Amino acid sequence: MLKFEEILTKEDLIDYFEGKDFKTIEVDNGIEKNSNQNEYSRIEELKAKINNSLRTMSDDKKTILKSDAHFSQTIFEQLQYFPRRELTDIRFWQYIGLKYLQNYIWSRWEKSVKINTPLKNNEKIKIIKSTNKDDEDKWSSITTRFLGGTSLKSLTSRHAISRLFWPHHILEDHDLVKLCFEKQDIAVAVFERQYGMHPEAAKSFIKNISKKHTGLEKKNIQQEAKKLNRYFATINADYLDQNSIKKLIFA
Amino acid sequence: MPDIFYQHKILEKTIDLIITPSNIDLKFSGNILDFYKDEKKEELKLDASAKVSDIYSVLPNEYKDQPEYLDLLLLVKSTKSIFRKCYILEKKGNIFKTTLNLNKRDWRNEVEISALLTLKKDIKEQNGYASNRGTKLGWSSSYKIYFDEPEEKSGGASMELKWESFSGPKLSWLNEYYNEDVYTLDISRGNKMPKIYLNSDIDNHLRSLIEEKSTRSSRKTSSRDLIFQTIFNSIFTQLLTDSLIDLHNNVQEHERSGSDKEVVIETAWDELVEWKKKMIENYSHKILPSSRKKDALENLKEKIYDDKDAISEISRKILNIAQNSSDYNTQKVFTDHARLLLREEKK
Repeated sequence: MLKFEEILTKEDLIDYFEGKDFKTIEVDNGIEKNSNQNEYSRIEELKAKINNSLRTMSDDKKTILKSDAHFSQTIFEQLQYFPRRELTDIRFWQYIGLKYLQNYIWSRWEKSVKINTPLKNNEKIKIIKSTNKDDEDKWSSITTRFLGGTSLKSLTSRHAISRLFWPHHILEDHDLVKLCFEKQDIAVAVFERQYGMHPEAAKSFIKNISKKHTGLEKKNIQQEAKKLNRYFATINADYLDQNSIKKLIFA
Repeated sequence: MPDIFYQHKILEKTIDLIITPSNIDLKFSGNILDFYKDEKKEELKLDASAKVSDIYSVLPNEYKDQPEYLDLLLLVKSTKSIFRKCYILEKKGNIFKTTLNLNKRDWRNEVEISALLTLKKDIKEQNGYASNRGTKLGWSSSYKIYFDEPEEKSGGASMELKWESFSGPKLSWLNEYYNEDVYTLDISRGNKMPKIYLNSDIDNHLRSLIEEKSTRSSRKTSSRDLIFQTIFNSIFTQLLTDSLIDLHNNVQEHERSGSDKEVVIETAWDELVEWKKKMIENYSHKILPSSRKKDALENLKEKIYDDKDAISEISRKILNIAQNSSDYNTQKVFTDHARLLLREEKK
């Protein structure tokens, strides 16, 4: 299994779609310790499973938007055996996204692309970069979904594939993952903040937010997330269990 | 210790934390261990011991001398590894102890280890004292373990200055049109600190003036200072402009994602490369001189988010910020030079 040698930038993404080859390096595959499955077959299997899901999906874009929890499970099952060191490397995710799961990323994140419809490279470039009337570069927001970024949130919330893997890893429970992705604002509120890294805090927030605000309005979710974040300036989140965090949410 | 005003009583002294690798081949240099340098070892075993002075001072009188209300934790965290863990240190007499293992396959970049005193149980609320379980009551300084070579020094890194031919292959982008210039700044080094180059092909008189080491006031040293100041101002302006534009662009990009203000600002800041963070951090109070020095950075980030014209407004003043940001004020260096020349003319 490979990953890019250097983190790809926006300009590199254009070059990639123009056919440029970027140097790659080997990934530590974690096979000996955790699994007897071949690393390449894991990725190929993941690609096949995802493409299969896309093929059986209706053309209605809403279906794919509502399928994050399903894809999260598939991605987690196939990639969980890689060492954490690799799973936190954005180069690993950039490579997987571009090399194996492009079809999914275009289908999920680009409004103008029909589900499971392959694009030509010039079409991809046209979507990714255009210029406005002042000749300034205008980058499509899908670039973030391919490239992630250098911050923590790029892994837990921005990159199209790792944002599905990490919540599953942290929440450890498919029903919670479903709850988390049912309303995108919840996933964003938790996994764009530092406390998304505290499994107990993330779990407790997701379990309890819908109890406190049954309507799950974006404004309320954001406010509660902010409030909890503030508590963690003076209270150590690592030390608390879900019940103690629930008390803070309902305080 | 974090720069937060705590409404409850906290330890007056920092916790004394000592971390030592079990393996005698490995040693911390100060508080830093470059574990990445040891390619053979996969696992790092650490012994941690801590001492807390006046530990019960953080508890109200009725709970004094009752160890069951306090826990001393060892926090291990790494943003790049999306991982944090806390170990409870075991009390043995006056010393708290624990051991931990860190495996290379689990960690990236920098791992930070520190001790934290915390309230173990909820207690009755009393004015001036913490009452909620988990409340932070005291800190140690941090130890850092590098699992990868740091891309750049974390602070106080100075810029490299080199003599190089502007006609040579190393600075190929200057060869055709700019090979007679005096100085240049290579800013396109990704995450690495930019480099300043002086042209090794310049006139020898000019080179000797630039290389003059004397500190005694003379026409020569005054002219040298004038040259330095001019170079400093333009380079500083470029570095700061580049840093602010990047922050502004990051803010705009993340704003489009629909996240709230707090998250947008935090992410935009996190994604800046280290040297740009340092530039903005170190000079934010010069950019916003009306802000309190300790608030200037946060105020600046908010201004860039709130006010779409903030960047153009700052750009109008950036040359002035530069003139006031070096150790030697530009107005003073220029005036000293003028005085020296005119005084000599009168003679």
